[in-house]
Amino acid sequence: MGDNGKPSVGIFGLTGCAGCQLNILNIEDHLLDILNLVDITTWVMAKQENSEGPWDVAFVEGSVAKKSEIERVKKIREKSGVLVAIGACATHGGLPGLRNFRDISEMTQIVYGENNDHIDAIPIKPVSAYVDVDYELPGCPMEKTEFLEIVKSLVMGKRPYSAQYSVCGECKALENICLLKEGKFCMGPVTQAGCNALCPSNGAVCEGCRGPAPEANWAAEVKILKKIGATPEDVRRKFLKYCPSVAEMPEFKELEF
Amino acid sequence: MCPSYVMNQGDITKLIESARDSFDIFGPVKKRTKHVFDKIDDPAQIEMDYDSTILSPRKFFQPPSEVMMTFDLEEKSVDDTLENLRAERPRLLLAVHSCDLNGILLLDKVFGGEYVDHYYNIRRDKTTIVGLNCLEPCEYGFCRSMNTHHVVEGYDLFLTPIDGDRYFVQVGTAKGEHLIHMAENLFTLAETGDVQSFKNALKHKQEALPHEVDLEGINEYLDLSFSHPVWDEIAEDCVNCGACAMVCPTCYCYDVVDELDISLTSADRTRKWDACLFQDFALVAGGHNFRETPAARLKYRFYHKMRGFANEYGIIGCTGCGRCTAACPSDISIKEVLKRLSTIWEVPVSGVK
Ligand code: SF4
Ligand code: SF4
Ligand code: SF4
Repeated sequence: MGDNGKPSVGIFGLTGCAGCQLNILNIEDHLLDILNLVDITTWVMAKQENSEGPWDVAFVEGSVAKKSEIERVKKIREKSGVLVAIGACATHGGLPGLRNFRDISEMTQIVYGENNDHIDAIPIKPVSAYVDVDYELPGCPMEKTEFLEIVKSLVMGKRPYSAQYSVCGECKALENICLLKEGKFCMGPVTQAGCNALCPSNGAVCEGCRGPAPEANWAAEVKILKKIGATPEDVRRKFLKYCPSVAEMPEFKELEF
Repeated sequence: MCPSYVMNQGDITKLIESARDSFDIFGPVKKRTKHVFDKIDDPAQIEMDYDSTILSPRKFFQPPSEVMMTFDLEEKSVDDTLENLRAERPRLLLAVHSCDLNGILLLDKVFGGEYVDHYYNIRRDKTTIVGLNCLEPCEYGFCRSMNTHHVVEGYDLFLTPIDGDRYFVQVGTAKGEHLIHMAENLFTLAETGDVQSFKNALKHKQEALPHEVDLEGINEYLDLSFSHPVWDEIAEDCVNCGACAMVCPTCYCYDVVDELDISLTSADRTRKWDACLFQDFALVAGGHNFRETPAARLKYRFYHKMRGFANEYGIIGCTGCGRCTAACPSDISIKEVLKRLSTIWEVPVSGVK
């Protein structure tokens, strides 16, 4: 607890675009309500003075992309009661994970030239690869409504609500025309709901940024995509684009593309 | 017995004009390559000649999401939203096909039976329905097989296209009669020739709609295939997305969620469409899941429609509208599944899942 009896909160960024932290700032209508419930003691993006912890709740954005970040995220974990990973980078590796498709030393050389000894880049992994994570708010960026839900739930001591199905469920309830049926490579059938089918509702396929739905039937999705003309490489890239961590899952390794 | 009428097909826009002051009007309109039931602001939007809609008319009586109650924690007061519903303008729902009229009748049994759901019934009472006969089969439907291609009730007016340019109009209820009086000049009493045209139209329909699935023996073959490996095979393609349940005219399950406002001073109780395909649908306190595997959930949907519904309400819960087939990303066709099951007359494999 902070001095004022409210839970203390730290918000941190690892490797990513900082868009999820920005998204918290963008909850303009409710920022004061949030501050009524919790005491944000550390948030480098938004505060001049920041505490060194401990925190009741830590929100961690970004993927672990450097050796030094492993130590950093472990420290945050040690000093926090509850750790919440926010955004696709923190939950599944996110877009930085595109780097995992290539050889890392070659990539380092291309970007930083010959003198790159100070670059401690490692393959991109989500926060949960190194420390225990209590809750995950997936998505690129994370949903503001889900952030509010978890803040409320933690303050009240209840389990946050999250949808246990795929984007298609939301998409159909909104009466969208199915993009798969129009031959477009949509990841909705296997992607965790909670975004209110934002992309398909605006005519763009689901890119899978929220990671796999519970018990996602990947083999069926592979079959669906191939039936409408996706190559094995297209399918593999679709699965890994926002979620490089998926590559480590045994179900994924067993998939035939 | 009410008299029957005829009207010009082109006059449907005039009917909309005449009914506008009294109703909010909904009907099939184009959405890119498909049709949806939507509010008709401009009468020219209505497309009477439509195949099917993405969502069924269920959405008008049990919307995908609705606030049932609001709580004020400071005043310690609760308000249900029924008064707001009662104050809403009456609705006129146009061009509802026979399968969907039958679908609404099935929902009536669920929401108006032993436990009366006021939210549903207020909306239902405030709605006037104009049915529309299909004389040609639609892409995915199999209404004839499910015996939902004709209606005996459930409409206020019912239109059957005749002679290419007119509708034969049957009156089902006083609400329907009221609608006729609203636009009297559009309707003329049916004469002998019109009745002959009506008969011809029905005969044409009889020949045009295929009978594809055999309902005879359905209880038996469903029982005998309950633990058959065919279900695992079908489940291999199912992603448990629930699209089939969302679009279905007779799926009615919902989840109730209480949500506090971020100021922690007020809360809403909302109900949202749920689906038996979802992982946490049959999950109970303590972590037990009555339908643990995705395959069990898929199978449950079929058995509830085809078997459980009949046990409870005396009638099969599928209208054969074909929407689930149209919506399924894996192209799982309920019609094909039924056809396949009907060939399985085996002693059940032991070990019921
Ligand atoms: S557009 Fe995508 S998310 Fe929507 S129903 Fe089709 S596959 Fe599912
Ligand atoms: S729409 Fe198809 S894939 Fe989705 S849950 Fe229904 S049967 Fe399974
Ligand atoms: S189960 Fe399928 S065919 Fe039957 S009523 Fe529902 S959506 Fe229509």
